[in-house]
Amino acid sequence: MRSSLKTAGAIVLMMTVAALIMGAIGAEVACSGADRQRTIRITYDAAIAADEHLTTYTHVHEEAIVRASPTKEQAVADLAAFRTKVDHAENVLKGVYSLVAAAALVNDDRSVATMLQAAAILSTELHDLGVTP
Amino acid sequence: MNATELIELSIHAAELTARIWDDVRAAHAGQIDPGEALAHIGTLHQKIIDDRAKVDAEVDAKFPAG
Repeated sequence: MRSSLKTAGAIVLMMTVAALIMGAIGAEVACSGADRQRTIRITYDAAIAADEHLTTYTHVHEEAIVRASPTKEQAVADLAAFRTKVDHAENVLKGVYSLVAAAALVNDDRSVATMLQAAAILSTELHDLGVTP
Repeated sequence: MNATELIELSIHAAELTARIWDDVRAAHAGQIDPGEALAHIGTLHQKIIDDRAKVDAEVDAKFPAG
């Protein structure tokens, strides 16, 4: 669990770095293709890390729910409640992958900015799930 | 333009296209393949389904019917 939290911290950090790159470049100044590609790459790597971590995090928590549940009804209900929360983060993660693909294809400032917004939302989702450094 | 000239022109065009294509590939080396990024969506979706099926099986094993 502790290593999972460290991974999550790394994810948040990577996303923050990506946001900082964009911030440093400045919203009004169009950034270079190399800067955009670097930002897209960092976000992509962060998304992959988030993917692996979220899967592990979900598995660990679901097993804990099953272990702690005194009845099948309780296990099913608790799993459903947990999965509803996780589903949201997973859908955002899928959105980040889509926007990484779009940004890689279009490679303009607007697509990169949109991708970073989604990455920031994913970071918030992970935090809300209790995944904090 | 006769047939020989047309063939020579075609070969030249093909060589030029290959050279341009090499330049394009070199310029995009290291960049993210959009298809690869999109493939993660399907992989993630399947991983979720598989993992949930395993956990559901664990629930059934822990609380057998009857």
